[in-house]
Amino acid sequence: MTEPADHDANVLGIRVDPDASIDELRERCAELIHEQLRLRDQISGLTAERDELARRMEAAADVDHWSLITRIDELEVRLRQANHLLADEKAQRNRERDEVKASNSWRIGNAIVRPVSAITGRGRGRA
Amino acid sequence: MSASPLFSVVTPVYNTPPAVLRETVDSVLVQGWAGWELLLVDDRSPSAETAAALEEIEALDPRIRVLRRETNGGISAASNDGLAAARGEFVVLLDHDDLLVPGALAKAARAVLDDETIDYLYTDEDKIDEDGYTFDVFQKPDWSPERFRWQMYTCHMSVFRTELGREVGGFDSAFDGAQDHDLILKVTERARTIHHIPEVLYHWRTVPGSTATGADAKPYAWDAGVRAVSAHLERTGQRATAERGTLPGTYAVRRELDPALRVSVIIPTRGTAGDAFGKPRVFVVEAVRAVLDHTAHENLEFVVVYDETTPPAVLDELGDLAGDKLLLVPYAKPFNFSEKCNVGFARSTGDRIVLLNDDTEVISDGFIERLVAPLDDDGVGLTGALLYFEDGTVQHGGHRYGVAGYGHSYFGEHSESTGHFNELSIYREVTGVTAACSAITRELYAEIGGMWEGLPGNYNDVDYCYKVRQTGRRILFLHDVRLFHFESKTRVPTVHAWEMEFVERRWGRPTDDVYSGR
Repeated sequence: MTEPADHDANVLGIRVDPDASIDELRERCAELIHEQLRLRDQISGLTAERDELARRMEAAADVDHWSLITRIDELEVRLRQANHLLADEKAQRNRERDEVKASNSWRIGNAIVRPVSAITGRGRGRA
Repeated sequence: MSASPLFSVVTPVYNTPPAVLRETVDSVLVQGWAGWELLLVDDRSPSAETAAALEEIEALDPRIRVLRRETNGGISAASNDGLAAARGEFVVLLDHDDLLVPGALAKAARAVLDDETIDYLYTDEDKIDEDGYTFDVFQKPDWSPERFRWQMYTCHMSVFRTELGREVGGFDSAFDGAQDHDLILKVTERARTIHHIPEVLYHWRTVPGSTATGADAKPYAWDAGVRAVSAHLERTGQRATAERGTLPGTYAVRRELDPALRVSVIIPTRGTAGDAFGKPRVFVVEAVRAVLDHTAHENLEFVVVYDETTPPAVLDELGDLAGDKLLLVPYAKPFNFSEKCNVGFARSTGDRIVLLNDDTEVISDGFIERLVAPLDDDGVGLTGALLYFEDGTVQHGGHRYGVAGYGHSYFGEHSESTGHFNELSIYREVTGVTAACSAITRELYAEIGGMWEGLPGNYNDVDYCYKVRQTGRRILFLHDVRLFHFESKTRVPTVHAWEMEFVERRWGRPTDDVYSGR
C-alpha cells in the first residue's frame, strides 16, 4: 500500500488537513453540507426563475393587444360612469343634508341642544 | 371519451313532498347541456303523493327514468340501483330536495372534455332555505386528501366516472349516513385525476332535521364516517387510526411517531429576554422548556444557533434544561434567519427537522409527535401549526398567497374560532406554513436547499414552501399543534419591496389561493 502523494487534495478538490481533530473534521463536514444547501437552493431558484420567465414569455406571445386595448376602453367607460354615480350620490347627500338643516325640526332641536353643547364642550370645532 | 359525455343524475327518492321534488327535477330539466339522464329511484315511498308526483314527472321528458324498488332498502341500496341502471359515463349525485345550478352540467362536461383523465370532480356549493334564499357559500379547496380524511368536504356536487364507481363496489349500506364519504374515499383512492370547479353549482336545501343544518342532527352518520375513514386508512396501508373529531361531522386521524426517528429542533436565537403574560422570561429557554414539557418522544436534540451576543448564563440554563439533548452552534454574522437555520441543519443529526422560533411557547401535548408523524406519508413535505398571539387571537392558521400578497390565514381571529367550514379544527392542505414552527424530513430539506439565504428576514418561509410544493409534495396545517408566538401584534413589520420581488422573480405573482377560499 502506498501513501497518497498529496494529503491536501483528493478527487473532489477538498482540502483535508491530516492533523485535524475529529471536531475540526466535523465542522468541515458541516460547512460542506451548508455549501451544498446553498448550491441546491440556487439550482432550485434558477430552475424556478427559468420556468417563470418561460411562462411569462408564453403569456406575452399569446397576448391579443387589440382585446387589451378594447378592455382598457371598457374599463375607462366604467370608471367614468362610476365617477358620475359617485358625484350624483354626493350631490344628493348634500341636498338632503341642506334640506334637513333648513327644516323647522332641525332649527328647534339645534336651539335646544346648542346651550347644552356649549356647557359640555361637545360639538366644539364642528362646522 | 365521447364528444358529448352523458351524465346520469342519480336521485334516491323517499316520501319527498311533490313540490320539492318537482323543483329538484326542474333544476335538471333547465340544464343547457342536453347529455343527461335523470334516474329517480323510489325507495318504496309509502306516500301516495310522492308516487303520483313521480308518475307525472316521468312523463315530462324521455330522459327521466323512475326506478321503483319493491322493498325499502335505504339510501345506499337505492343509490346502487341508480348506479347499476346508469347509462352515462359519469354519475352525478343529486339529493331529492336539492338543486343543480343552471349550467352545472355544462361546466362539468367542459372539464371532463378538457381533461380525459378526470375520474372525479366536485364543485363549490351553498345552501338554500325554504323560501329560496341562498346562503353559506362553501368555497372549497382544490383536492386535499388529508382534509378529506378529516371532513367530507367535497360533498355536492360530486361527479364520478360510472365504471370506477361500480369497480369499487358502489355504495355500502354498512356506512349509511356517510355512504357518500365512503364511496368517494374509494373512488379517489383510484382516480387518475381529481378536479375541483371553484364555482357554486349546487344548492343544498336546508329543512329542519336535514344534514345541511348541522352534522349534529345525525350522530349515527358521524360514527359511520369514522368507520369509513378507518376503512380507508386500512385500505391505503397507513399506520393511523380514525376517531370523532372535535366538531360534529369532523374526524381525527391519529398517527404514531416511530420512536426510532431522531428529531432535531433547530432554534435560531440571540438569547433575548422580555415579558410574556406579565412576567419576565428568556424566550429561548422557555421555548425549549415548553417543548420538553409537551413532548414524550425521547429521541430528540435541540440545535440552538446563537449569536455571539447571547449571554453565557442563557447558554448555561439551556444546558441545565436540555442536558445531552442540546447542541449549541455559534453564529457570528449579521442577522440572517435563513442562514442560521441552514447552519443548524448542517450540524444536526435528526431524521426529521423542526424549525422553531425562540419566541414561541408550545401549549399542546404530543407536540413533536403530532407535528412530525404526518411526514411518514411520502406525499407530505411540510407540516405547520396553529399559532396564537399572547392575547389569544390567532397569529397563524396557515399561509395564503393571493393577489393581495402573502399572508397568514385567520390573522387576528378569536381563539375560539373554528374557521370557514371548520378549517381551523381539522388538518388540511395549505399553500404554506410559517417557519416559526414547521417540520420537514432531512432528505427534503437537503433536496430543496433549505432556506434561501438571499432572504434573511421576510418571505424566506414563502420561498421555502414554494420549493417544497415544487417537489409535488403537500403542506399540512395541523390545528391541534398549538403554540403562543410572542411576536408583537401591533408591530409594523419592515417588509422591503425587493423581498417580494425576489420571491416573485422565482415563483411569479400569486393569483388565487387554491387551498383557501377565505
